[in-house]
Amino acid sequence: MSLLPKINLRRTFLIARRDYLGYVKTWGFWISFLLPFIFGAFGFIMATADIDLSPTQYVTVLDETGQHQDGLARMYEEMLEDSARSAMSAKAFFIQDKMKRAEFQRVLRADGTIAAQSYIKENIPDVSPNYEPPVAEFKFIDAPANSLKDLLPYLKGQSLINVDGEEAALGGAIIFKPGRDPSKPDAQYWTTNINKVDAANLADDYLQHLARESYLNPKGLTGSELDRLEALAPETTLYNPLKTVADDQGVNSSDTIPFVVATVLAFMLWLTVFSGAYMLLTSMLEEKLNKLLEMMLATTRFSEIILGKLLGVAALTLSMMAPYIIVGIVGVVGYVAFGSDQAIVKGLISAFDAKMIVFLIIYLILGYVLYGAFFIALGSLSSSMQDAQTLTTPILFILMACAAVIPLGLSAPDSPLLRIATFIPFSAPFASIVRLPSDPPIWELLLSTAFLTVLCIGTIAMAGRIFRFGVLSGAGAEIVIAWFKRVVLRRKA
Amino acid sequence: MTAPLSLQSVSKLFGGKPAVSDVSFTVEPGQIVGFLGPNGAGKTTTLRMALGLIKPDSGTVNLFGESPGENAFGRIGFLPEERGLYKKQTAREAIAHMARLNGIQKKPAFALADELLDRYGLGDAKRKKNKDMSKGMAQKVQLLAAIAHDPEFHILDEPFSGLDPVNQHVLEGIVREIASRDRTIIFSTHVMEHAERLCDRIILMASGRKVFDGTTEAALAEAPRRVNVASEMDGLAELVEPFAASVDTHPDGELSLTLKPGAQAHDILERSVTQGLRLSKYEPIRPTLHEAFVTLVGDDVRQGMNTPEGHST
Repeated sequence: MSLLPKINLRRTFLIARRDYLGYVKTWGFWISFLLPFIFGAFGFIMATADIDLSPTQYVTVLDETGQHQDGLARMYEEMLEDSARSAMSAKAFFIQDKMKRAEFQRVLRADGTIAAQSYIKENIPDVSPNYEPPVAEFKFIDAPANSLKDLLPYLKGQSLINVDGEEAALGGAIIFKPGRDPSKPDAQYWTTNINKVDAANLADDYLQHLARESYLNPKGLTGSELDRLEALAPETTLYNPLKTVADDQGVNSSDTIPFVVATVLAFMLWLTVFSGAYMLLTSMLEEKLNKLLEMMLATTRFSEIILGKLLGVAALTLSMMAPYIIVGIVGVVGYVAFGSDQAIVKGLISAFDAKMIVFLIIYLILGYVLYGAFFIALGSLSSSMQDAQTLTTPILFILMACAAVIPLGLSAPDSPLLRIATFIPFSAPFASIVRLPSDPPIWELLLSTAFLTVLCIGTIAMAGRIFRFGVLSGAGAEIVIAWFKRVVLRRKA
Repeated sequence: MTAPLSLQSVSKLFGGKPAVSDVSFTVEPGQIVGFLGPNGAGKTTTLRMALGLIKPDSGTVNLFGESPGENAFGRIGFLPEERGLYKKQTAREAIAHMARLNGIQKKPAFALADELLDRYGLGDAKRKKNKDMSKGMAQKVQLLAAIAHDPEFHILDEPFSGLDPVNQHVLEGIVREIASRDRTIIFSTHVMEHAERLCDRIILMASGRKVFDGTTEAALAEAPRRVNVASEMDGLAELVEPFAASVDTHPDGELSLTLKPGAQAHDILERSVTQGLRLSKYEPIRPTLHEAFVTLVGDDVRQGMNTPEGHST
């Protein structure tokens, strides 16, 4: 006697095909399928049309003390430059040579972003010198009036200011008034846009800076000198003892990219399993409500219907995910072929090694089958969407808990929780994938796969029985509750 | 020739309560069998066991001489009591899909679907989505889907339920047409008229048990025979008294008699001639299957009628 049920491939294919086409012919499918392209096109149009979604705010300063306007403007310029340096410093991540990386960071700190760009152009041709400078949240303009009273029509939008020959609204006004101490002026920020307070925050920073200077200066010190000394402090370099010396044991992007990729893949896997299983549930429910199953069962085996549905919805899920998968593959392959940062290329190649691809396929199949079988069983017990929601809630909680495990792959890949999750079949597909870049012992992966396989077989067998019962009984959630009361609570009906 | 269906002492319990008890019968090739009984009599459960959808607790089921399964796939056309179609499929897709599941290739399946829809007056609805069809049309489409592959054995569970009289008549025509091709049919119903008009043989179920199995004529013989008589002369009541199990007297003096077992309507006629009592009315009432059914199942009918509609066992 064979352990596996007999399957007629033609009938299984026909059931899978109907399920697949049943969804593919709906508007919902095509909207989901085309959504990434629609968003991509929208993004492209927005980028090429140069539409500013967050227009620059114009802010003016009324300084009744005559002491703070220049200092505030200077501070804002320094902050923008700091932001630019911060954005530029991410380039260090892609510089593999330790000496060059240190020199780049020194040049950036000492001479600014333009000098750092020149250094990259001249010394590190593999790394692109271009970077996205931070966007200024607001711009200072000269005050269109000399008093708050005269400014109010501008602030209320009744009058417009002129900026480079074009009319614009005045977004806000910072007003400094004399305080009891010259280093502690009264500051006010006037605006009708009370949720956008970047200028007010800048004014706060400026006031804190004044307080700092007023403390340091009497001691013969300056804040800028303190900042400079802090900036010149050496930085810790990251090393990984598992790397070979010849490889440079310093850690760079090529070492961290596999973790990021594994986390993204685990999320994609989770999303695929979740959406696939949920579609199986609705497909099963539709089948039950359509009342065709009994007719089909006169000519088709239970196992063929279950397998046909699993395959049909799997094909459907993959079709729906296809745009993302294709974009991902094209992106990765494109970058590996033409990418300028060799560290990223190296990281991507190492992220998509044979072990990752093999286990990703294994866990995709097993994870989908495990959750899919559960959802088929629960779908066959449901007689309405409310029933289905009630019955699937525990499984959804489990799935949500599994999603919470995935980020640990980045933040704590050695976490005992992640290791335990590897051996729990429900979370194994996701936990194992995020652990792969840490090179877990192969026996752990094999044991986890074995547990998952055993539970999959058990779940399919159980799902088959529940399916058979649920389809023919016209059961709803109440029958599960009745069973629970009768068998678990030992109550008489 | 192997009997399409044979049940031997089949029983099934649900939640400890008997749904079918010790039922045995054989459906011979070419027969049209009416499977009758009130709601909850065990008809659907028996048919499901016949198809192997549920396993009996005891007894054996043979479909084409073997346990129900792969051997019977493609040889059976099954119309379940609970009906439906994929709402977004068209009528021809629905029929072709079932035909293909029953082994017919794609092109012939669609050709067959078109032909059947044309033949049974649904030619205009070929490309109509099932969700846009009336209930009667959808039910016809599902029946055509069940029989498109021209199976040897048709199992139809309550095929007439939910149909208006016109469509019931059309369905009767379809059943006759199937039977004319020497196909075997068993259909369950509690509308006696259909069984009376269509069946060679009747199996009556009540409370999970088979209470009658025989020809329609034999079933009718079980029904109480009745006769209506009237006379303008005195002495009619005394004349009929030896033959009557019960007598209802109408206001105009007419008597409706239910005859005693063994008594015949013509006995009354002979006695009236002998006694010179002229009858102004002599009307033997043709027994109906419904009356036979009520006689055979008695209290079970009333119990069955109390079962909520649509709940079958």
